[in-house]
Amino acid sequence: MKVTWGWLADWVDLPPTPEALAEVLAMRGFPVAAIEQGATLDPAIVVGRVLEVSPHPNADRLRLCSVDIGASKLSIVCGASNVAPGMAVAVAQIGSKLPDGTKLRKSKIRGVESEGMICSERELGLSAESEGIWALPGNPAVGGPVQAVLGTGDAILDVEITANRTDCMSVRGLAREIASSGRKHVKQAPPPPAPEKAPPPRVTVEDPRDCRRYMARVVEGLRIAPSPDWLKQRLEATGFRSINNVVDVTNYVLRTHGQPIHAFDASRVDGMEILVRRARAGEKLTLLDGRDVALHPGVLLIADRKKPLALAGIMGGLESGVTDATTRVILESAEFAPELTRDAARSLGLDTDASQRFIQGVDPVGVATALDETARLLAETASGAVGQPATDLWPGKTPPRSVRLRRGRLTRLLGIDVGRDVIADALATLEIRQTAPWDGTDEAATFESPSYRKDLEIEEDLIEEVARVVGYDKIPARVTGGQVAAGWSGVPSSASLLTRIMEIACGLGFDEIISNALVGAIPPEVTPESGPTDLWEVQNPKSRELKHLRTSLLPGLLHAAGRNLRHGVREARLVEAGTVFRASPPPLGSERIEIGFVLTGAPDPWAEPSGSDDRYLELKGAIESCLEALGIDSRKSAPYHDRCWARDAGLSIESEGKKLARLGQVSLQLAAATDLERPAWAAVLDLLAIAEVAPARRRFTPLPKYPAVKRDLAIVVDRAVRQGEVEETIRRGGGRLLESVRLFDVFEGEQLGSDKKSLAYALVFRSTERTLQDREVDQAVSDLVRALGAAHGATLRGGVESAAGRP
Amino acid sequence: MIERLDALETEAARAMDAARDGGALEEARVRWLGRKSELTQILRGLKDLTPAERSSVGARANQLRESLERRYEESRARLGADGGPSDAAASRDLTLPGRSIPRGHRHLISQVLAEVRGIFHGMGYALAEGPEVEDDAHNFGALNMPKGHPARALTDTFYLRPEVLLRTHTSSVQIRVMEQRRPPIRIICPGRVYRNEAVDATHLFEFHQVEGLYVDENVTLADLKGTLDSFLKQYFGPNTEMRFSPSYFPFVEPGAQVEIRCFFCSGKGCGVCGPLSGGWLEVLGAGMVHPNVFRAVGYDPERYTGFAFGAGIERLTMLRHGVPDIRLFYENDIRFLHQF
Repeated sequence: MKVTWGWLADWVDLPPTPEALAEVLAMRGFPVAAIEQGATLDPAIVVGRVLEVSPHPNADRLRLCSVDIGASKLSIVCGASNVAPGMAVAVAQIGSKLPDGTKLRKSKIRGVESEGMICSERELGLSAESEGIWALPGNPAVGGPVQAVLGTGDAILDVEITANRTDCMSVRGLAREIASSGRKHVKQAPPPPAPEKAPPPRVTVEDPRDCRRYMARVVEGLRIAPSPDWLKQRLEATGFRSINNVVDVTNYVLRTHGQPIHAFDASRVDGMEILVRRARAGEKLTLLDGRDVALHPGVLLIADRKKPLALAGIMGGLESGVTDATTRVILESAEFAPELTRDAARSLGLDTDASQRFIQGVDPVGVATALDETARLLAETASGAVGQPATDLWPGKTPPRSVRLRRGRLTRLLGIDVGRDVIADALATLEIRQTAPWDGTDEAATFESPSYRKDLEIEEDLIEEVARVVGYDKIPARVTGGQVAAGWSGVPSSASLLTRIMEIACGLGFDEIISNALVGAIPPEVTPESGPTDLWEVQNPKSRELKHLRTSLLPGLLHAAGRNLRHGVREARLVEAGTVFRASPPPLGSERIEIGFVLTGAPDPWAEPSGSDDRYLELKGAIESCLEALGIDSRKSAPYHDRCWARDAGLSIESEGKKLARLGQVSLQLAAATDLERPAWAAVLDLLAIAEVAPARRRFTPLPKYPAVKRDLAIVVDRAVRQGEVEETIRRGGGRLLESVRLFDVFEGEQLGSDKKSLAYALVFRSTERTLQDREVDQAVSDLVRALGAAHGATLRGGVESAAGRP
Repeated sequence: MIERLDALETEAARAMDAARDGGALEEARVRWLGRKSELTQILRGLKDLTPAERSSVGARANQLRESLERRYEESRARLGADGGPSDAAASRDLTLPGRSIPRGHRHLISQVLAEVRGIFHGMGYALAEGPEVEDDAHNFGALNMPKGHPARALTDTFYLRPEVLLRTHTSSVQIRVMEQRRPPIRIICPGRVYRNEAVDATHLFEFHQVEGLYVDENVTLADLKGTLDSFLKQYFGPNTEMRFSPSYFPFVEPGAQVEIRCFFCSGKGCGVCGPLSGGWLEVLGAGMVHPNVFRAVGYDPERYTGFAFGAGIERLTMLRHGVPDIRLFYENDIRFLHQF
């Protein structure tokens, strides 16, 4: 909420500067987002009128302007493109001082003397940025100070008000806080002028639950005119348009007191009689803004005997509104029921300043003050004659709320010991009165809140009030040592596992990305098998782009990879960990954490001189590394297909019957759906499955005592035979002595025959008990060759070599 | 035979002198003195020669071997004790770039999350997680925001079904933990949250929060202030100046807002803290857990007190690392990712 310094100063003594005031407000819970200092310009910065604009002889971008400043004509060099003859401008004369402190000196610009400067709004400190020079509004007097155009130079504070403190959405509300902070009092409003004879209208409230208080008063003899400058300036400075004196006064009272005031043209109110009643089905009303609304019994009306006049607490009707011809008004100040106002406004699609105030709840006591103040201001600004004291119906009057406060509770919550008197005095500054003395046993007292403090409901609310008055800065900062509850590990194992995986992935050269969980269309490739009903769809999306919760990390990763390649990056190696969602089972669906990898583009030729176009093995190697780093055997795999992967290009890595990872070449359709026009390889790891098989702790294995015997074994098999199966046969057939198997070459060539391939393995044999003898190993190898022959039709290629022969 | 030995001597000496590094010298040794070298063959063949030849050739061959061995030792000394090159720069360009080994980068948000987790872990806080798809009761109801509460209108919530939504804060995790455990509780709940907000340089519809909760029998506002002061000093630096002032959140009472003095301009006003804001940057919201929240999870508010706090991870990151636009975190531009 914007408020000006002078406006606040009408109601309370202020700290010395706007900055000091901002600090006071912030420490009360009302941070000041901005202070716009009213500009106080050097009087030597004057209004000038541009007479002539001609090109600068030595510079294309500059212009030479002849400017009339009343007493003389100046020749000024100007760089702005918007300068034009006839324009009223701010001229800083030689010797004048700009707001940033620079003093203007006589100078030559590109060889031409400039006798001053035509200023932009930025140069005058009026705005943070500006384009070109400032064209002064209106028709200011040439030669006069520019300050006169700006007005009084009242500082404007933009104060943030929290949702619980709607009582401070007004100048007086803030003034009360400032007064409390300075242990002072808010000033009283001057009394309205002595009433004349005009009687108030008759008022009937149909249901006191709808309208808790209703006051009305007449002001006559009005002359509708523009508002006086002070009123205009205050409204405009705080973001409101000035309309005319009567409308402006009601708006001003709203900003000052937080109380909406409505003015009816009294000549349009039949019989000077006002009914506050529910609308009847079928009734219609044309609103002030020209809109016609169809009414229903959920709407409260202000009506006369014949017709609806206004939507109570929301908006006036056009017909009974103030016009230029209005001379007599009925002023309404009321408290309408918040829920009723909210529901009615919502049902009609209306949201007005007034409705917001009534929904938040106005101060029932302030209804009277605000009405008096309106009458007084109309007398002052529109030469109105104030009628007899108001009609006042207050059927919904409630006693003040009392809350008990225990001193011990306060100490336990705040961590400071505050004495009884200090508590009572602190609350008294906020007009929260102690109504019963402290009682002995639990040191409790009862306090009564003022009518405008609807937020003070429980003991803790009062404790906060004491803390605010004492000052949050007076609360000591303490760090208590303490233990996490027993039996609690501190970090869930899946969370630490995820951290490890991501660190390993980064070590393997993958960059972590974070993409949105809310996505647009879900590509069919990642639509769950259970069908589109298993997708979460947002009922109130921001846009079509953000409608679904993702079911897979792949689209986001591929999309990011494609974007980066288009930016000219050679290769994208990306990893992401995140939640993926399914809508079943009800009610909350299911969430899983996946880790996705994508590899696409070309490797750096310097780093990988022999880089291949097919990067499947590179990606697979990374995934194997990652799993091995977690102590997981990643050797067991099976062909895997879903629509994410190109035909015959998907694989799953399994352990203990769980699918830990799916990987392969991304299908063209999925790549295309994510705007990636390159082959890409990807993998998806399932965190939960990995957590189930990853050993929590590694156990020590004794280091080998006896030497190993190495053998290289090259076999020839049909091309269609899968290496994984051959390796499995070797592993199973190698016996206890076989320590490790590693493929080191795959060879295809004419000499083998076109449908054959050779696989070469490095085998390591070792016993934990003794040094192996060659013949034992030879026996094991020949058993293996037989097993391979039986299982895969493998034949030996070129014999078994002792590994020493291989570099 | 003697002539052959003379020729060997010349060739071998040249080879050893020419060796520029240990490897080349070793090659020369194997070639000229090794088991398969011509000289060794000749020495081995001595037994097949006539006694006269054997004596003359033998003497010459043995003398040659000694001289070559000496030569070898000299060359070794010349190349340095480790046999390494003494003037390698002449033979290879050491300024060639190293073969780059790809190095991945953790996302800056993840780095900050890990650091924040670590700081609170050090203060005895356990990590708690919960679902991102939440029900109304955990996201609002139990947090003192019953249906119709005005504070609900402040949060623009994405709804999936009438009672199912995307959590708007990780406070829902606090409720889930309190439903399952008895105090004492010290947890932080980091995670992704969703708000249906207009996107600009400081707002996104998805972002990360970290919230904390400490419940025990005598937890006070002073403990909250001390904890947050300690966190901010660890995260932003030991000279961080904190301002602790009243604020409002429905699930705490008293409520507090925590700001730090802008460390870019020390409070004079700048592009980060706003030219006119007096140099305070809002970083955390906090307060004492509202008794209605305790009642909702079956804790006795007379017995237990507690504090809760929350901060936006993106905001903490932007402030400390000078990232001007929150959208950069989700664009995943490698040029951005590689900066951290």
